[in-house]
Amino acid sequence: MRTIAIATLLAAAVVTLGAPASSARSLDGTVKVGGVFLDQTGDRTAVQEISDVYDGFALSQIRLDGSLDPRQYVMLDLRDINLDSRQGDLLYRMPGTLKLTAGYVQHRRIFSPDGAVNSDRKDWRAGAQFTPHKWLALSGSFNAYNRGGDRLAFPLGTAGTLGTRYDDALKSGRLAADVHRGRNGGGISYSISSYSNDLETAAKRTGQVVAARFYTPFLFYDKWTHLFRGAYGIQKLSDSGIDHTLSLFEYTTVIEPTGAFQLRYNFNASRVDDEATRLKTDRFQNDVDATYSYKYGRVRGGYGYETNDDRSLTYYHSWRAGTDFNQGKRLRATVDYAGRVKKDQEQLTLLQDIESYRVRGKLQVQPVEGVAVGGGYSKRQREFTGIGVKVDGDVANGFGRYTREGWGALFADYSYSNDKYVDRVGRFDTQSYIVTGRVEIGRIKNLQLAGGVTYLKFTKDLDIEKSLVFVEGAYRLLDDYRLEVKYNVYNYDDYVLLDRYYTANVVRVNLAYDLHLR
Amino acid sequence: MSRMISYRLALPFLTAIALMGAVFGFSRGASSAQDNPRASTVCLDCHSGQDTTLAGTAHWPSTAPHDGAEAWAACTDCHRGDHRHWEEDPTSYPMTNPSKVTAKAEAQICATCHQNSHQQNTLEKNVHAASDVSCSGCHRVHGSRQASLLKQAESGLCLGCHSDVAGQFARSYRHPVNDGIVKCSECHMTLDRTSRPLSNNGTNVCGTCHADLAGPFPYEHPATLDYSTEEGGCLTCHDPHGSSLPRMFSQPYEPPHFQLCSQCHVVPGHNFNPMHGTAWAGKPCNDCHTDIHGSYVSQLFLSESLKAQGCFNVGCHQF
Repeated sequence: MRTIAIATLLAAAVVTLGAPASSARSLDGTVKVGGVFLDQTGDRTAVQEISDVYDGFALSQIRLDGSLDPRQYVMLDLRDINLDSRQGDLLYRMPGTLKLTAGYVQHRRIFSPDGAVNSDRKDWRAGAQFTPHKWLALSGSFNAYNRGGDRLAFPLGTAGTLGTRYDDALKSGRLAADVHRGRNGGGISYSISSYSNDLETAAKRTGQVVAARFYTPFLFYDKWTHLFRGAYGIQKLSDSGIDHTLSLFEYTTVIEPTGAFQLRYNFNASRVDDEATRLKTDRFQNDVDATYSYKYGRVRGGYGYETNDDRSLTYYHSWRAGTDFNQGKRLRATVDYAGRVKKDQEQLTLLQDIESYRVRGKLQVQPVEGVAVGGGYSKRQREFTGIGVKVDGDVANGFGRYTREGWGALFADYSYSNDKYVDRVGRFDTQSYIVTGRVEIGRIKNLQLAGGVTYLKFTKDLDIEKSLVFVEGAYRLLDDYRLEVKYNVYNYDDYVLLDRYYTANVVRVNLAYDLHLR
Repeated sequence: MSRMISYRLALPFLTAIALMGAVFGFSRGASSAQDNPRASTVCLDCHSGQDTTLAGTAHWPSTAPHDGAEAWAACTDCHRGDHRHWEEDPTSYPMTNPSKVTAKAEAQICATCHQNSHQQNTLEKNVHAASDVSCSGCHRVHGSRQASLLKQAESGLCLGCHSDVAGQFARSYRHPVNDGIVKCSECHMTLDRTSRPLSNNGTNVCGTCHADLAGPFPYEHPATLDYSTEEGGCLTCHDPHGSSLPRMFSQPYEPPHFQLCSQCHVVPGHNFNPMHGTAWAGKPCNDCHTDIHGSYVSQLFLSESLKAQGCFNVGCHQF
């Protein structure tokens, strides 16, 4: 019944948009109808790509976009509308004056090997932007998220005590006004949110925030800009007497004595006041950054100092430095380093003292038009000295791209990571290899072909293999009709937990019709 | 009985709007189309192909709120030069192309009109601009079928550069970004700092969708409060891009060590406490500590059902 109602609504929309009217009307679109053939075996939680794939008839897509007249643009895009998962977007725009948006996403997650334990997520969103004058923009938005379904104890087989179901609803809205005139401007926003859980009344809460910002050049020196931000909010738990007030102030100043040099200072102060416990959390952050730009790139560096006064006083020092080198599109390179030290004066926070740093480099070369190769390396280390934990990670990746107009494209990616984790009772090591390849062929008349593979392998303390393979083709039958076929194979094997495996074959067949409404 | 939402912050919001209107709202005289070259579409006489791609966008030069008023966006707003380009010799007097200047210079051109917090932060804070990734690196300003004139759908656009992250989304447990259900910007669009004040940490980004875990709770798990970009908060336990472990855990949650919890809670004997005999050996931590994201009743996030088992009646534990 629901499918019929949706189809009727869509038909009405298409007929309305397609009715004879202004000669300026120009709408293009696509309707895709077909079917999905699904054959799967094993633990359905292992490959989440399949969660929203259903065997059977599929009204895969209805899309329309174009102009109703030179000053009205509309876009309607609906995907998988007859299945338990579906998505849709609607956009109406009068350029420079009005923009209306609406969207809906419904999908599900699977939590048990047989797929019987799952949850539905339904998200609505709507927004509007009105620009009555060039210097003023008014906007508003509303979102509603619903999460309902079954809850599964974890790990499997244990007795769950959280209950077997949940039913959450989050509604939020925002109104904003932005103004600007020359280099002066600002904005103000008002946000409100409401959360409820039908199975846990104590969780019901509301929140609201007013925020404002203002920016202006310095009075007598226009190479100096100031930016102020402030916010004040309230958040309440209706049944538990929790009442938080939150306030934020931020000041940023940017000085650019020459076009090549920029000095920036940022001050951020916030307070969270817990009315129930009378506990205040004050946070202050100061950052200074300098950037020097030259013809082929830039050099940058900065230092930050932060304090967090909660149950204990915590200090953070951070620093960063880096350089970019760009020779047009031909060569791009980046190297940067960042470090951060946390000192917990009273050793009362959970993780206590932390020392962390990260270094990384990236290189991308485009020797000729259509060819790009590159790679990167990053190393990250975190040491939690107070609790005796050390985490090391290395990631290296490389890629190649080749595209030729009218022929097709070739993509290849390789990624390697090595993670070591050591604590007082043991250690955990993993290595991962991820290879991705994709080829697109457009040389054959009326036929588009593509294929690809993704292969993952985790070794050391994990022993997992996963592969995704696809082949797809689209053949143009007549001027406005296309036959689209896609074949996917999914494989998953966990060699440590032998009962965790999964295999699926999915074939999607669609007949696409291209609409042209004039 | 449920309490009504108080809208006490709405009044200062409306007052501020009225104030802004008074400061910025003085009228500007509109010039006629004949006097003002910005109201004409002379560029499209030669660059006719742009007419199709620009149509329907706010960048369409013939778009004007009233007949005779100047266009919202004229070609010359972005492509700087002088009238000799179209009146005399276009080759000898070329216009500038914003996509071929530095990211910062291009952002300043875009910010002539686009001055909300996204653009403001792009100029002042954003790592994209700092790495010379310009506005046109993501947006096709001459027209696109994607929202916000993005060059392509968001996940492909972002992952085209962040190829190391693309590999993470291929893992078994991940956010459904490649499926188009979750967008990169839903978590990473923290450029708009005014949207963050409900939290003094980044955890609130996750709470946008996972509202049931966002609190505030009378008893909060400190891990959710100790946040920075690189560690802490939800990231203490979860890898949000993707993990090979269920629930996107960053460490295994398997007996005997339950590394996920023991990475912070190194409590020798906790699992093998002789007071319990062997009854609790190898038991998952959340068999007892059920409300681990935060609890309304227990400072140790314990299940109320444990009261019936006598754990708290003999002076062993504080509920």
